[in-house]
Amino acid sequence: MMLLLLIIGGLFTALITPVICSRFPKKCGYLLSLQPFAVALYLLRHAPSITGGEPLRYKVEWLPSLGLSLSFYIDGLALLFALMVSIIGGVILIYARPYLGKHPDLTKFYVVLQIFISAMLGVVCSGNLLGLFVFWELTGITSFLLIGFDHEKKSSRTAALQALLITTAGSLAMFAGLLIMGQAGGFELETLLAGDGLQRHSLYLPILLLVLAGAFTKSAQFPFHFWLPRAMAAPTPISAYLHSATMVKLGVFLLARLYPVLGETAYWELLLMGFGGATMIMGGWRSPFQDDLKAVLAYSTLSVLGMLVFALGMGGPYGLTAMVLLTLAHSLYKAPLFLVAGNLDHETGTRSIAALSGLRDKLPLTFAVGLTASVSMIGLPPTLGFVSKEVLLEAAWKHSPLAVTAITVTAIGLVAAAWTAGLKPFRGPPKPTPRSPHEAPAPMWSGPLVLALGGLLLGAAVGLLKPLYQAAASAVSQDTVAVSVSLWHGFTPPLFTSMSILLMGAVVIASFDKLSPLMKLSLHFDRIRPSRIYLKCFDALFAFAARITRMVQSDSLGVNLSIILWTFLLLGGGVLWRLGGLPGQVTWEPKWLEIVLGSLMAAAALGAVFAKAFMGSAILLGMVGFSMSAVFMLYGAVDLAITQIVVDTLTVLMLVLVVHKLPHFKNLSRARNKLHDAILSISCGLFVTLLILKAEQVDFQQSISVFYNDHSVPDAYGRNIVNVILVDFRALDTLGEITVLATAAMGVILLLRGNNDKRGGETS
Amino acid sequence: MEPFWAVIVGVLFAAAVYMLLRRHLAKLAIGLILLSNAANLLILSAPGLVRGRPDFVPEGAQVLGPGHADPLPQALILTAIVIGFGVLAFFLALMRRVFLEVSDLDVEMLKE
Repeated sequence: MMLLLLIIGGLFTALITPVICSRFPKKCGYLLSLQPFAVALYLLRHAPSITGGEPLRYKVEWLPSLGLSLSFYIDGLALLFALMVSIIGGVILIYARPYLGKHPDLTKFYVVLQIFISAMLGVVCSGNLLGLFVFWELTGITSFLLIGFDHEKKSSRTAALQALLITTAGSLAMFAGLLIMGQAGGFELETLLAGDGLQRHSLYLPILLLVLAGAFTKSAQFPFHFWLPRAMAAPTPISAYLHSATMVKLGVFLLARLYPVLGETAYWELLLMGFGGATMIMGGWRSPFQDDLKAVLAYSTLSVLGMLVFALGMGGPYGLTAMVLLTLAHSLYKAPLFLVAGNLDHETGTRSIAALSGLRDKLPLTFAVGLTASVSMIGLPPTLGFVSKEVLLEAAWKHSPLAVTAITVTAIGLVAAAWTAGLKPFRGPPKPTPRSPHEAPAPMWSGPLVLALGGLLLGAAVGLLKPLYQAAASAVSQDTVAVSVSLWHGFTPPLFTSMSILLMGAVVIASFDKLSPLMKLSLHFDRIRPSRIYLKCFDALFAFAARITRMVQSDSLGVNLSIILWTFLLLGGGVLWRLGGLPGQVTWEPKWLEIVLGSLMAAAALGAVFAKAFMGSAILLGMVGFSMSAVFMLYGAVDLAITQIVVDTLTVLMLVLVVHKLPHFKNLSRARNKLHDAILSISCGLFVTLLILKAEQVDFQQSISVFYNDHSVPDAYGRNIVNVILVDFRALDTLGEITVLATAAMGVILLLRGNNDKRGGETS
Repeated sequence: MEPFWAVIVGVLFAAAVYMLLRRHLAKLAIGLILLSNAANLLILSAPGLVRGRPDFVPEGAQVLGPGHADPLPQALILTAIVIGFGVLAFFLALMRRVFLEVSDLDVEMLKE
């Protein structure tokens, strides 16, 4: 119960956030951070038992018939992610308050952010595939709202929409995959993981592809990567938290979660290493050559996400341990680096690498954060970045030379990126910036510093982390993974690779000015970039919609009506054909009274059509109405007859009173149109006749009138069954009818008022 | 007698549709009236017609014997008549308003 409260607690604190923000405008960041920190504390308290192999469980049946239950299941993997989400979430909540300052939408920001934290915790702790999907979608929506936070800028709005469209398109595919998976192996995660896996299931490949579509779009893998750099339109704390440390890792999380079910096949290895490898190399080498500080970080994030997918593709004890450690290390250095970028942007007014220089003296504490974090990103000992890179290289050496090459190439780019993002702005002589910089307020450097120091110290004392990473890796593989990591492994191939990466990285940094024109040149060659394809599809969709609309939605009433009627004839004709074609032999015995009445009615109707003046039509319409009334009388519908007489009298009066001033009919339509309309209307009339004749020859279900007949006197105490239906059995319908009449009457009054020619009388 | 009424309903429908396709607003009103009459007649004749036996449960009886008209279509038509009347009243008032404002009742001209 406590678990449930903590996980979805953010949804409740989001409700009272407006009160907190207006009561304690200065302290609201601290107050709101209590919730995620409480989650973290709770998790840490239970951490020993979870890592000891006793997962936390909580379950409420929701829709048992659909296999849907609200269940949470926290094992090592979930624990790792939940801790990252809650601790970094708290830091971000504190950081955002001074960062946004007097922003008018501060409250909105906090509300959405807290919903996001709950959604994230929901995904990583979910014990049911369907529950996981619901929370997953919630993260997508909140991410959309936060990217578009600056909603007055068009670029923010398009970036938000792009992120939403791509990730939801992926998650829709993923949903299909999860449904098939649930059918095959159960929706509860524990049963699914404890089962034999679906690697030999006949639908394995479709499931894998669908799930990968969701994971790759969420984790911005090539070729769906381009939404992530554009999502940097969000405020920097959001970029740090959603688009680097937590949400974009959900794709990786899902793949890790489903590793026992889908992993370790040839397809898995090929697809994950292929796409992950492409993403990591592309991101790693684009990153250092961006000019926008946040773009540098965004591309390096892409690169690391690719690396994580790559590590999962390699699999095995070392691959999984590397994945776990790299996830943690990346969150602990990338979030601070983003926040450093936020501080620089906030204090100097620019994010351009070219403009930022020599800020070491003006922002010493921010520099300390940047330095600590980039050391981990470069992968120098004794940081967590170093440790995770060593394990990754170890896994690659065990896998194949190709994997070693790919990781080496990527890591060189990342060394340069770390230098560009974390160190370059602080070095050299100061340059003038739009704002004169000074150190950011305490909440803006203290939290990031704690995270960055965490990355440093946990690397130095990596033994402390051992239960956590071993439990997480074991949870991924559902088997005991006992890889033990330490700072010093001796002179092994990974160590030499690591050293050569550092050397090459230094070379790239030294020859940076020569390389960057080359990199810019290479951008001109890729005409078929995925982002262009996206834009093309997006525009084509709108053009297509506009064309369809132009085709079927004319601004002419006549044309629209014709389209509707022809469609009616076509579809109706189809139904008639399916029911066995034209009606069979019809028999009837003529009765003179009916024939006279019916002919009179038809003649009057045709007369009304061909009359030259409106008054003539009005009188003929009156005749149609009174004939109707006679027909009702004839067939025992007394109430109808009475109503029809009243209504018809009023109609004729209305026509005469209101419209007698109108001019005579003019001949407005051309002969060709008249011919078309005549053909269409005669077809409609003929079709309706056929339909009625056919209806009498087709058996339908028994009329519900029997019920009304049986209950009218015993239950409703009324002898006129029609009346009883109206005022008793279907009284709500009658109420609706009265409402319609009252609305129409009000409309009539309003339309007649406000001119000097008041006649009235038609509201009756 | 139903086949005969089917033909009459068809004639009414054809006349109504033809009027609805005209460009003069007043003709649209005529089409509307014809259409609601046609629809009512259609509903009435659909379950079969019984001459001269209204659905009144006689004194002393609990239910109606067989061979009476179906009460359900009648209840539906009653609602339809009244609603149709409301719509027509609104339409006529609107039309009058339009005529007073722009002195034209051509649907195609009103587009602009």
